[in-house]
Amino acid sequence: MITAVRKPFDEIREMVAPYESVLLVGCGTCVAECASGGEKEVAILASQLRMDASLRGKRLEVGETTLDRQCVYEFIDRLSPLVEKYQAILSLACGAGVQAVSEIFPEAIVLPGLDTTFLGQTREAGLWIENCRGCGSCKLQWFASICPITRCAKRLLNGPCGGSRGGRCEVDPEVPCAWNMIVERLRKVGRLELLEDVYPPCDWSLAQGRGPRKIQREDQAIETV
Amino acid sequence: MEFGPSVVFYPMPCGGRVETIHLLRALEEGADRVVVITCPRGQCRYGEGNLRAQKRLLYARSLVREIGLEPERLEIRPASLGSALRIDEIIRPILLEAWNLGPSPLRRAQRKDTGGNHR
Repeated sequence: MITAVRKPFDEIREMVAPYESVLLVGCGTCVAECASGGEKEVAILASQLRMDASLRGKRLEVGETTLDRQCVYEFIDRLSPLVEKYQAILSLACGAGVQAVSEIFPEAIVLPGLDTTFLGQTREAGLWIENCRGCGSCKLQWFASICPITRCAKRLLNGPCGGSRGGRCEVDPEVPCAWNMIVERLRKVGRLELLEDVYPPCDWSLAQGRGPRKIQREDQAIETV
Repeated sequence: MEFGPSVVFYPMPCGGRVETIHLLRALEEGADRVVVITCPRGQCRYGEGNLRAQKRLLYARSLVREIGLEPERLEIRPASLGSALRIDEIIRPILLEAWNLGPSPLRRAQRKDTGGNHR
């Protein structure tokens, strides 16, 4: 899941200040799961914006809608009848969603309402943790499905640094040591021998340094080349 | 029960059903004060409904503070312990308390918008 948090209200207020009508567009997928951009959050922010405008003696019409996904054309297209009715769109999607909406409606002002943060999991109600850096070359098969690139502060691939204490990371004692977890889990599943191999460094050229990445699959394409 | 037109009563099945947006909408509609009445701590028949209401109310207060409205306009009150009281017996003392914040500035703003014909 892509996680995000709502931008500070002051920043949002400043963004929408030039407009008299704004359409809030939520996304029902990742950001709904992390309670930052789903239908409920759209309703809350819309209410806040209306009250704020009213308190400041400003006229602001706020529309609300939530798409199932804000990063896929078929869903974004549902905004077509609404976009022209508003001076701006305030998107409560991740950065990918904001850009996708903007690309499909190039004449529209599309503003980001969230700060996109990381790829992660819902650990428990109200707690999301980062567990994938999208490095482009998954190595979880070697590390008992615990990613040292993401969860070890030093991104070590060949064993612990030696600084952890009581199973906690020396960089941030709030965080469990990834290598402690890896060793414990490998022990549990009887695969400790995996620790004897030497693993090459992460190939970061797959993740960065070449501009935006893309995935292209002919079998998924509608038009044949 | 009858409290006159100045009090709107919304029965909910449990404090756990109270959402942040319910509290904001009440203020947005011009309520001066929103009081959530829950079961006493440790006595929610569904487990933690009253605690959830408390958390959501605190969150709603933080949102209200962001727009410059007094967070004290949102309150949560546990009903008395072992209460066999009717809801009006719980509400009446609350209404008799001193209320220092006065009318909601949102109500005043809405009145201005509608030429004084606030609903």
